This record gives sequence, C-alpha cells and structure tokens, in this order.
Amino acid sequence: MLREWTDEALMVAVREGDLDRLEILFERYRDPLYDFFSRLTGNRVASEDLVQDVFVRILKYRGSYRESNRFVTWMYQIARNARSDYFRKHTARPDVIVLPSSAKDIKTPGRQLEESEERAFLQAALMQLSEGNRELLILARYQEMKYEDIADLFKIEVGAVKTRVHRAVNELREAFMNLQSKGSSCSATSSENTLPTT
Amino acid sequence: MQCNELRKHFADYVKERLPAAVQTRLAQHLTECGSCTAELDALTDVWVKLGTLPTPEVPAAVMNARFHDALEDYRRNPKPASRADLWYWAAGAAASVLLVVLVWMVFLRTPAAISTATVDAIDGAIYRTWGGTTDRLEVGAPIKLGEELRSEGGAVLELADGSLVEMRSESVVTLESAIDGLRIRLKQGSVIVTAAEQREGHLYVQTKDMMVSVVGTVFMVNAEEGGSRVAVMDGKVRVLQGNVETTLTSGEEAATTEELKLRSLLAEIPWSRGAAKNGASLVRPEPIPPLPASQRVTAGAPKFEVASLKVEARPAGGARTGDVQGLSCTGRDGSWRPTMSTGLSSPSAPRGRCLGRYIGIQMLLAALYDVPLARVTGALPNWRILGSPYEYGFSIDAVAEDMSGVTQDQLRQMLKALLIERFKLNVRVDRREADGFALTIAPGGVKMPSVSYSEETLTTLTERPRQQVINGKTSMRKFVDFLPTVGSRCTIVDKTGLDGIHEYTLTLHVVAQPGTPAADAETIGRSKKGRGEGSSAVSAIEGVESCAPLRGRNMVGAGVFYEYTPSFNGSLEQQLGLRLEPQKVQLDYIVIDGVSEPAEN
Repeated sequence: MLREWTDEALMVAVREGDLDRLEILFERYRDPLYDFFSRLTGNRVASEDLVQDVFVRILKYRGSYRESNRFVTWMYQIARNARSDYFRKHTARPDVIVLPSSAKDIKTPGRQLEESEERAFLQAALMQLSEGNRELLILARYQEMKYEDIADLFKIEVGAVKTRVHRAVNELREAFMNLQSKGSSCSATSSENTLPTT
Repeated sequence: MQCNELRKHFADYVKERLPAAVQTRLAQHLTECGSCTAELDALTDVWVKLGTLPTPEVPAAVMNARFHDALEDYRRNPKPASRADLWYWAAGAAASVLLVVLVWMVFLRTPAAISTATVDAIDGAIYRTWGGTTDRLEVGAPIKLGEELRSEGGAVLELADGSLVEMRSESVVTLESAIDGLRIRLKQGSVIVTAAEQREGHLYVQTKDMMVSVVGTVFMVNAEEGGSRVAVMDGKVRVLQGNVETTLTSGEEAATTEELKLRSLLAEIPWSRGAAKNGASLVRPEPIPPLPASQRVTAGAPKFEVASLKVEARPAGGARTGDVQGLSCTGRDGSWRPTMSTGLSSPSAPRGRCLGRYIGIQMLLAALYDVPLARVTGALPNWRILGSPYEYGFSIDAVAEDMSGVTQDQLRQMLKALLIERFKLNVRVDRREADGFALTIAPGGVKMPSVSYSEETLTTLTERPRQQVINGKTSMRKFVDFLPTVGSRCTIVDKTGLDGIHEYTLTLHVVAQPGTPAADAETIGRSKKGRGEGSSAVSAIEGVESCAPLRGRNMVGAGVFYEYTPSFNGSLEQQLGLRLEPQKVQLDYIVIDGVSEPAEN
C-alpha cells in the first residue's frame, strides 16, 4: 500500500518524523536524480555525491516542506542548489563525456558505427550548451518534466520555458553540426573522470 | 501563422501537446513555407536523436549503501529540522564538512577500504565485478561492500562476524550495508547462510521479491527469475514479502509463487559442501518433502464463481480442431493465451473470464506450469482416444467473482484450483538433470550492437523456403528462451554475461534431406507457434551430440527434415559472435500422481 502513496504524502510523513518513508522516495528518485546530475555534469563521482547530498538535504530541510508544493519541484530545487554549491566549492571538471562501453567495445561496422559517432557528437554538443539550456533540455527531454513544473522550478512563465526550449534545441543543433563538420572526436571519446578535490 | 510563431509552438509540437487548432494552423503554414518546414524537421531530428543517447548506468548498490548509512547516522543523531536549517546555513564551513563526510563515504565506506568478508573456500571459481572490471578471486581474498560476486562452482564466504555464506554454482550476490546490519543481495542462484549470533543488528538476505532477516540460524535462499524461496534448517527467520511478514522455523519453507511452492528447496540441498560431508550439521540429513500439490493449491486459493466443464463434440462442418482449440483468460492487466491458442477461431475471453476449447488435461497442465507438453508425465489418462467421452477434450467456461478486478495470474491460480477440485488432481514437480547447452561468447567476441531498453522488441522468426531468419532486440535471456523454437529441443541457459538489450539477426540456411521425422511430443510442445505437428527438422550443431538429436522446426512440409548449412553453431558464431556449448541442466517435470474423470456441469 505504501508504494501507492503519492510523493507528497510520503514527504509529509517524513517531515513528521517517519523517516522510513524516505526510503520509498529514494527508491523512486535515485535513478532519475543520478541521470539528471550525470547528464548535467558529465562526472559520475560528482553525480553519486550529489544524489546523496540531495537526500541528506531533504532530511535536513524536511521541516520546510509544505504539502501545497509538488514534491518533485521541491526536490529538483534542492538538487539545483546542491549542484551549484558543489561546483562552487570544488574543482570537478564537468566537461568529460563517457561513451557507453558498447559503443567502444563492439565492432560494428557501417551504419551502427556512424550512429555511435553521431551519439558521441551529440553528447559533446550537449555539454557545450550553456548550463541553463543544458539543464532545461535534460529536465524536459530526459526527466520528462512538465513545462508547468519547469516554469515553477525556474520561476519563469510557461511561455518563456517553451521559447527557451526552442532556443536550446537550436543552439544544440548548431553545436552538433559544428562538431560533425569538424569530424573531431575531441573529448567525446574520453572515459576519464575527474575526481572532485577538497 | 507567422514564421516567428514556430519558436512558441516547437516545445509543444515535439511533445505532441499542440492544441488541435494550432496544429491545423501549423500544418497549413508548413505547406506554404519551405524554410519553416526545414527548420522544424531539423530541430525535431535533434530532439529525437537526444532520446537515443544512452542512459547513464546507476551505481545502485553503492548509492543504496550510502543512503542507508546516512539515514542510519541521522537516526542515531537526529537533528530537528529547524535547527538543522540554522546550523547548515550559519556555518560557513558546512559545505566543506559535508564534503568531508561525502569523501569519507566514497573512499572509506565503499569497497576501496572496507573488507566485509573473505573467501573461505572455492570449488571451481569465484569472480568479482567492481567498477567495470572483473577479476578471479582466490581463497582468503577480501570482499567489500558493493562488489558483485559470481560463483562458477561452489564457494563459501566468511563474513566479518563469523557468519558463513555458501554460494551454489551460478549464483550472484552482493554484500551491502543495511541500516542495522549487513544485507546479502541475492540476484540469482542459491545461498546457504549459517548466521553467527547477531548481537546488535541483523543479517538480511534480499532477493527481488523477498527479504529474510535472521538473528542466528541456518537457512537457504534461492532466487530465480520466477520468484524466490527460503528454507530453514535450524533456528528461525523472518520473511518479508511485500507487506506480509511471516516467521519460519526449522524445517519450514516459503516461496513467493505457487509454482515455486511445489519445489522443495530442502530437497535441493545436496549441492551444498555441508551436505557432502557425512553428518554435517549444516544441513538436515533428510529433506522434508513438499506438501502434496493438491493441498498446497487448494489452501486459500481463490475460486471461480461459476465454472463449467463440458466434453467437446467433433468440430462441425469439417473444421479442424486446431482452428478452434485454445485457452484464453483475461484479467484487468491483460490476456493470457498459452501456446496452443493459435487457431484462427481460438477463444478470446472477455474480462474476468477464462474460455477454453478442445482442451486436454496434459496441455492444460503444461500451459499452467509453463513447461513443454512432454514434461507433463505420470498417470496420464488418454481421454482423447477414439470412443472415449473425452475424444476431443473438453471446453471450459469460468467466470471470476470480481470480474473487473481479477488479474491474469489470479485467473491462472483459479484454473489450477478448478483442475484440482474437478479432476481430483494430485501433481508434483520432479526436477531431473538433462543434457542442455550454455550460450557463451565466441572467441572472436560479440557481434551484436547494444541498444537502449526503449528499443526492445519481440523476437520474430521469419520462415522462407530453405531459410529461417531470427531477429529482434531483446535481452539475452529472452533470446535463449526463443532459440529452442528453431534449432534445438534442448534447454539452453544464458552464460554470455551480457546485460541489457542487444540487436540481432540470425539467418539460418537449411538443406532438405530425406529421413525419418522425429514426432516426439517434446519438440511439438516446445513450438512457440504450435505448428509442425508430426514433422520436425534436424539441425546439426557442430561437435555437439550430447543433446542429440537437435531438432529444428519444419517449415516446408511433413516427411522432410533439414540440416543447417553452415551449422547452427557456425551461423551463430559467424553472425552474432555467440556459440552453444553442451552442459547439464535441471529440468522440471510435472508428474501426475492421481487424476479422475470429472463430472460434467
């Protein structure tokens, strides 16, 4: 039955001291948050830390949650703050892209290789976007967040969100075409990760 | 619509959320404006391509362990939320402190530093996977949180508290931190745990659908795709399945599905090193036999509100039985149609109901227990012989009480209960060793591209004269489940170690050869499309005879059977970079110990 509780009901229970409910929220949002941070920062170690940080902060600030707030919007606000704080204090380079091992390891001539290269260029192009546009596209495309929720999160009008989505995709397309025309594999094939420093 | 309006509507367009009126205006504009059409196409293409970028692999085990550690710390030292806020924001170095905590968690609490167990004994090999690398472990090797351990042959781990974990061959476990102890996550296979007395916390064994907690006992847990089982040899354990907690004591067993309840876990103990030792205290010398199937299934099983069984008459108008034969049960979560339901007029049940036509008891049991027809044996009544009242089998029409709420699985359980009641059926599951194959990666490496889960498809078999083509995008598990449809009657297990979804196309070239078709029931029963009765094809798998004769499906005509050229294994290796290697496998047989002709109603 607990699995059927809404996020908001679970968070209210956590706020009231029933910390077991946070485990369910963690199960629901561990993967989406890791996906969000990983695409945003390109750094796996930082992403792992940041997911942990978000749930530590949820515990700390549980008293500030109001049931009138959508939990997902509240949580992503915390996530954005956590990321901002993290990179303000540390020098983890958020510019490393990791290709899936399948694309490197499997000998796939012809079309499949082209698709792998295309994905690498697109991923590199995504990392070239401004942080704001990259964050917007990740939320809209991968987190499948509603434009209304994004507007709430960014504290802008819904119409402005839609216009920015158009602009961000346009910017991404230009970066993608630019990389493709150069034919450069640049940093897109690097599997190196930069660990955060204290 | 003006060209500059495109930017306002693009976001809704790609999410298919455009209001109909705007959609119409946009479509009209695009027919007149080439530049907007080109721009929209280009941007949509980028948007679609974004969806093809791979999903980052989540280090779930480590993150779970860290989360539970943090939660545990917080419970031990709870900070009121309001004070925490003040503390957090007031302390200028708070973020640094947090980082120190995080770094400590990353570098000290993860496998880099904590040794949670050691390898105590190995009968074969044990492999550790961590951070994308796999290495073989020796006796005495330290095991750390989050590492995935896979046994090829038996192995025994000794935990830091002195508990012993014996892994059966082909088992996969990970040790994780629990809030109040240690969790053994069993992904597949079996473990026997001899738990040391847990003075302060608990030892848990977690499968995908069951959690067992102990305070000092000997017990065994098994996890497989269909569910999980636990058996207690000494002491007692608590078992949590969903929200239901039960306590098991010495000699008791539990399982998460009705099918698994029919297979005694204690009866499988002979794989244990402890079992091999004379009088070893690790296991009970006499396994407790499972309860008779009839008692197990009827106990508390839901029943149909109305159910009718009738002997079928010969099909009218020259129709063939196969055209109307079949079974269909429809619940709120969809329909279940077993493999014999392939006729053009096979029944299709409405919601909350099961309909069957020309059903025999053997085929029904095979379908309900998900085994090939030939693996239903024992006191089989031949009710389909000429002159028998059951010459053409029987029809079923059964209606659930909760027609709108019942699920497919519940309908299957109700059907089992119906069989037991009406046929006075007594069945058991007998596990036997047989020849089979392991699907492995060929020396040249995998030749199948990995694709995302969102691209997963069904496996399809296209049959053309002298050619069979298998293609799809699935997990390797689904691929090996499908292979016997084509090239082998033998059981195949996946040993590729490949995760995720792979795309494959396997083209088999067949050569007609005269010979004697092998009309064995098992081949027929394994046919996923239910065709080819009375005829089969022979596929030669290079250098493999232990499971011979390997049979493929005949797709041309009766009385002719085939050989693949190149061989099945050759094509598999050349096209996909895979190969089949002979191996002993365990097969379940459904044995009928007692059955009676039912009274019609």
